Amino acid sequence: MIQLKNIDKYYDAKFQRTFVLKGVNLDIDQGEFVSIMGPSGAGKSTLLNIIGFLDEPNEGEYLFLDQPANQLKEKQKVQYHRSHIGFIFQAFHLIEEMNVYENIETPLVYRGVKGKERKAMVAEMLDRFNIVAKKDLFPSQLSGGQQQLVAIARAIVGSPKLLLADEPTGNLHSEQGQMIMELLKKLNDEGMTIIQVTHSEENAKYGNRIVRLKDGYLKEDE
Amino acid sequence: MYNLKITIRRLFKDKAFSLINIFGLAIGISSFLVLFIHVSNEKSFDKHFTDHENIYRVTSIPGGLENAAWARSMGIVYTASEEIPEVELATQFTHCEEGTIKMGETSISQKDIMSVDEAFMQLFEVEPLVGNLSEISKPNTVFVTEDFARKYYGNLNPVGQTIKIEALQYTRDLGDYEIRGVVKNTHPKTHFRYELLISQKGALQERFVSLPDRKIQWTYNYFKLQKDADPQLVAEKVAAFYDNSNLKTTPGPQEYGFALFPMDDIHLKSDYRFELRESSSKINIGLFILISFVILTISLLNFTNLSIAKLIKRSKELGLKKSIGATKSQLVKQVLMEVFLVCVMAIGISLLAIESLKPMINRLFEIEFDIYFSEPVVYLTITGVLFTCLLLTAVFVAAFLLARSSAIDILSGRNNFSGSYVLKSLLVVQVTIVIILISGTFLVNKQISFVLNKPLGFDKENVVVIRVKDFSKDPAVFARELEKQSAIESVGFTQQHFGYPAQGFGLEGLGLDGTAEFVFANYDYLKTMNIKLVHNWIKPDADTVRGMVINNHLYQRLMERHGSMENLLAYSNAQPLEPGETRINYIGVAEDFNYSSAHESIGDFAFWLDEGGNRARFTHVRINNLHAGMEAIKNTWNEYYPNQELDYFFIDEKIAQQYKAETILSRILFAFSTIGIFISIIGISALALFISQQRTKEIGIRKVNGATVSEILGLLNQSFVKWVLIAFVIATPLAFYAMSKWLENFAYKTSMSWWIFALAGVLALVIALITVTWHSWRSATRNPVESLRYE
Repeated sequence: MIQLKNIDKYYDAKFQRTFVLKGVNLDIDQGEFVSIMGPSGAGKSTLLNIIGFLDEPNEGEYLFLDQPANQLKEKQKVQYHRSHIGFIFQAFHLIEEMNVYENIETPLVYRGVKGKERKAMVAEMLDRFNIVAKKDLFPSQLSGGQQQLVAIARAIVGSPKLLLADEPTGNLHSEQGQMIMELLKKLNDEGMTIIQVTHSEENAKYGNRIVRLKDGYLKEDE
Repeated sequence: MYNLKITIRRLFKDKAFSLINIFGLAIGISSFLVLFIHVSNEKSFDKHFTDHENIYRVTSIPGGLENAAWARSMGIVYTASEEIPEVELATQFTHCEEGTIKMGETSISQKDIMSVDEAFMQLFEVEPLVGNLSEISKPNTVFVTEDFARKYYGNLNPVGQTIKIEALQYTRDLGDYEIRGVVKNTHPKTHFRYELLISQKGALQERFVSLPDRKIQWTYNYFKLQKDADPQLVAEKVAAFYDNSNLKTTPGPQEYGFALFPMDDIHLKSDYRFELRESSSKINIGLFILISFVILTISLLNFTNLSIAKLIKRSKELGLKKSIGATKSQLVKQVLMEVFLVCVMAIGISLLAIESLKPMINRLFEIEFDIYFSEPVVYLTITGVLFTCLLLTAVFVAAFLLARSSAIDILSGRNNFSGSYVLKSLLVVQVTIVIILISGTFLVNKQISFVLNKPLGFDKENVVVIRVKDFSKDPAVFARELEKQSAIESVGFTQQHFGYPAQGFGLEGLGLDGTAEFVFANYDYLKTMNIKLVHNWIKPDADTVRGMVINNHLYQRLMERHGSMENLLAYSNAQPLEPGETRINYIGVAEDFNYSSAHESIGDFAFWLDEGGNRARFTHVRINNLHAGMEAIKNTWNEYYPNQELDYFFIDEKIAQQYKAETILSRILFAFSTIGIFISIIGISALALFISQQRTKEIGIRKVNGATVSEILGLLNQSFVKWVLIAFVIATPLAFYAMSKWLENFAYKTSMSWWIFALAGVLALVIALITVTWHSWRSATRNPVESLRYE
């Protein structure tokens, strides 16, 4: 599903080029649950962002569903964001002015899903994550775990093939974190490809493959 | 629909910010509309006449009096028109600002009586409601306006009734005039006004017939030229006609300049004496347009500034939406939708505000302002405002937020560098405008108080001017009666009061170029006005003072030419005397004084002193006690002139009226610069808030590391001081240039002191510092734990 070949990502300062990623090669198949690990500044998030079309590599080739990503037009990227890729973040990134229901609904609005259908899809999500009672609350009225639940609901409401999670449990206490990881595992069992960035070995074990990064190099793939 | 709900929710969530944003823009739009609509109303004067661009007023100005030109001209102009093929239609008419008429048994004073001909009716499109306008050519007929008819006759048809005309400006007892019709009121945007239109035939006929042979300027002459005719050429033809006429060699000035002044320009540009209606030449239409655009610009800048600041704060949300599949155009649409909503609210509020504040605006600025919603100005402004706001925001969103930074930069808040430069340059522009506005207000006020307090050369306080119209009794007796009273100091006579156009006489006979102005007065007038004599050659034993008192300006010129009074007398005695002329008997030199207008510099001037004649037309009475003095005048008047209305004014009020334009101008400038400054304070304040919010974390860290509140205040203020200084450097030369341009309008100008600019700069700095300090103080005194948790 994902093929990264010799990916470089760097920032140019005056006389110096700082590499964030250097010669990364990675293949990920459909249905995998991959955990990217490594110390701070290893380039984990950058790698995830490149995979999710939020960032672009400076060198190298990236094939998404056998399509070369560097030839994708802005429009196609948007299409992928709409239908193939879902994101969850450490800081949840819910929209403050919107309540739970509206937050989950937003991607469907951008995809142009019709009102009735939208209602059904959001209702299904609320049901599935057991947050029907909270649908009129605003993010500031929710606990961290609940916010991340909403964020996941928003990410998967359009049933994407790939879910990208950047330290999804980083801002949560262990119990809530565990609940979120269980949920991701379940989604993976249902066939969704998941790539997560994490610091915790424990969380990494929920996946079936661990990729270790250090100083921009892919060190281990187990 | 989906966006609308969220947008409204967002507006309500940050109520203070939304209110500031909406009202800032609303104030700007209303100010702009008020000023701009007023200006466009002023500009539309006389444009309702068909072929208005081909109508000209002809003036005949004696050589040397170009600075004191009259709107009236000599009768020969009308005669000349018959010989000039380019003139399609010519009319001459007179205008009496205030006359006396009698209906039944009551005498009333009546404004705006004009004696006109059929060509006038045609040229100025007088619309009859009742009657046939051609009857104006019959002797002693009169047409009244609908207002006049309603006031005195109610619903009755006034045709056939008679009005007795007792006094016009220069004539008395014209006899009965028969009302032959009712005409529509004068169009409000016309440079003249009439209530009664009387025939030139009958009682006035003799005067009109003799006009072409006299050098008096009594009538107003208008020509309608053929399309494409050259007014310059027509003026030359009039001049040639005069040069070939016998009139030229009759007594009085020989050289006249003839000119055609476009009617379209009269209301805005005329400085002519005896102008038919107060013109707006001193109002500085250009300055108004400038101010209105400055205010609009400030508020638009402010709006954009605030919107962008808000957007930067929200950039994370936009980035997130991008990551879940929103296209750029969807995001831009969403942002524009919000801006649009705010704009529409602001426009709605400002239109409501204008409607409800209209009476107040008109009272305060003494203007006749009205908004006509169907006029293009209104909807052009609305579209313009919407377009600018949307365009500026769209450019910012597209260029800075979405294109340049990738979604992840936005999401991690890594891009605030781009926005702040835009914001800071907007801030500099705003502060620059504020400095220019403040220094401009200072200067206009300084100039006006300078002009108002300038020594006039006479004492304007406590002088009552009585208009005497009845010369069947000797006014000298009335004056003696008055002087007996203790509350009255002295009584003097003159034919022209301050500000009333004076007469002219050529100086060729004295060996000088040009024309001097003079008025007929008596010796007591000089005493009453406290006009001091520099040289006094009056024989102490003479019982009547007869002769000429010239002003110092003219005296100096004569001395320069002749060296001494003896030489001057020898020179002028050698000149041939025209029949009817007498030698000038010089009896004194008066200190220079400003007789006609503070806008003009002092010129050659003389008093022709004698008793009798029409000199008592304006009887000047100096009183030493306002209440008792007025009481004495009223009693004496009623005794001496029973059944005549006492018509009087105070000379200092008359003088102040001359500065009405400046006073109103300064009031308008003051009001609108206050608004401008207010809007800018909002802008600076919001920006300070925004910057201190962005640096909340930094402030927290500094405090944890031991920075004091004052150190943090200093830090935050530092950058603002820099921007204010840059604005100051930009503003000062601009303001200097604009103000020297404006001062050129005045003969007497105040100096442009350095402190005006310094003070404006300091004020702008203080405003900036206070607002910035207020916001930074709030964030600096916050608990660092709280601000560090801000993420």
